[in-house]
Amino acid sequence: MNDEKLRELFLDAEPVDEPPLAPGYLESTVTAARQARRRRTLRNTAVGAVAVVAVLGLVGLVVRPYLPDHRTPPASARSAGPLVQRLDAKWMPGGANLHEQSVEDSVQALRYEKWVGTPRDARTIWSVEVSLYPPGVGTAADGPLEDAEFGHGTKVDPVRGMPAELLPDANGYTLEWKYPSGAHAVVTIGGTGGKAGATAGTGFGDRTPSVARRVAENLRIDGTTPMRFPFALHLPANQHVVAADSLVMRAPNGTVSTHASLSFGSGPRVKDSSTVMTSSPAEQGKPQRFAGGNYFVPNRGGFTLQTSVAGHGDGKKLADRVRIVGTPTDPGTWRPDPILN
Amino acid sequence: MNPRQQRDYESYIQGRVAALRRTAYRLTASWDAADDLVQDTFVKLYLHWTKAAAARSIDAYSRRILVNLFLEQARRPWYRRVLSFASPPDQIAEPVDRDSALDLHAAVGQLAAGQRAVLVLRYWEGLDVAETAALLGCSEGTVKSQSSAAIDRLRRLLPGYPVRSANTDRSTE
Repeated sequence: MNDEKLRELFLDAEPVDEPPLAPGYLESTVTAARQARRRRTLRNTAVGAVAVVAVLGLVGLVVRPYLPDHRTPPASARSAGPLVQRLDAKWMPGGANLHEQSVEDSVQALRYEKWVGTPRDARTIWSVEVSLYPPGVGTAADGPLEDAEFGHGTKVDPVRGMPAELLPDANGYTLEWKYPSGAHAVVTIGGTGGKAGATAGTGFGDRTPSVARRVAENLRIDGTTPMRFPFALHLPANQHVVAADSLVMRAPNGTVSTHASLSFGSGPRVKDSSTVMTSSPAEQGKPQRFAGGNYFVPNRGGFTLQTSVAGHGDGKKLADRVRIVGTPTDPGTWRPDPILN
Repeated sequence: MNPRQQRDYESYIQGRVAALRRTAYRLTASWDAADDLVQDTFVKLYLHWTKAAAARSIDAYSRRILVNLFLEQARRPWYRRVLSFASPPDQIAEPVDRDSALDLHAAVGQLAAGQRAVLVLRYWEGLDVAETAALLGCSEGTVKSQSSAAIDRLRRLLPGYPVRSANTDRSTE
């Protein structure tokens, strides 16, 4: 039997009972992919959480008091810890919807979009994302840019007196500026183009540079919005929070996808820590299971719960200790302090 | 990932999910396992989208991820594998129906993971020896020996299967 005949034989054996994909399969795949990227970033930047560990280990999750007269940008997202959203966009073009917000140790971001059409058939007219990278981060390893190096772009007029540049972005217009602390902020207007500062296809046309600049001039990084979590738990003795992230995505049709995670341990490194993670929409029709060192609860209170324990501990026991305290469709019901006393 | 890359990625997975799912099914012999494998593949593809988009063929890149993930999962200790069933199937497996194409799937499912991957790539995906070797990251000799061993084992598993000789033309049957 030659190769050709073998191929015929195999092709004759094509499955004829191919079941349809589960509803929401692709959407949950995209959500899982985005979460994976953020988890990777979190792991890669764990060392920066040492200062946070010291604070959180002693006093729990602390949110800085609001300082209304505070004009000088605080040092960084990192110095404030990963549990407070520092970005505060005071101006956005008309029609903006907050599509996504994330707070991580190495980058915080807010993403706004304008949609038209019906909820079932919405189309994105424009997108604007603002990001904040703490001092010491020289490469945008996550967020709207991928591997763009700060300080290597085309110099442009300063933003509120701070040195600014256009970063190469083949797919949009990206204005970045640097705070005295060394933190970098970025405004990215998504679209199509071909070189640094391209404006074609951004939804704003020739107005793109002025829109980006106005967003930049009105961006504050002294916000105090606490991160919220849909779960709570008692930490094991002598353990403290090492890192956390939270993500809420709103699709044009109003669908909310969420992801939140908390890593804790007795040392500073995320990779030596235990993690509780929730995501929504929840998986449907799957059993609770161990997979890849994690324990999965497909649906608890509308969330998929995933746990992993340092040192190959029992993820199921940890999952049993987690209390769901919010609803997946309304992040407003989540709590700012996931640690139970 | 910027918005355009995001759109490209979503458009790509929408267009390719059916084909990759079939490949995954051929490897895993289970639609549930195939769905999990494809999802893992797409997640990994997302993490490496910039590289994938710059590759000569995104399809080849995706297929490589899929096969490598399959092999990686097959190598994991049994207790770390995802269970495909909420509860174990309680009925005895039906005896193999030699007239059914499912025979071949069942037999392929009994092969070692590496042999299964070689057969699926060569005879279902239509890759030649060199392409299969490149995708699996092994030598052409390994692909040939794996193929030969896999076919020998298939012959033993399916002794009565209508295996035709090389000079039989099915179109005349």
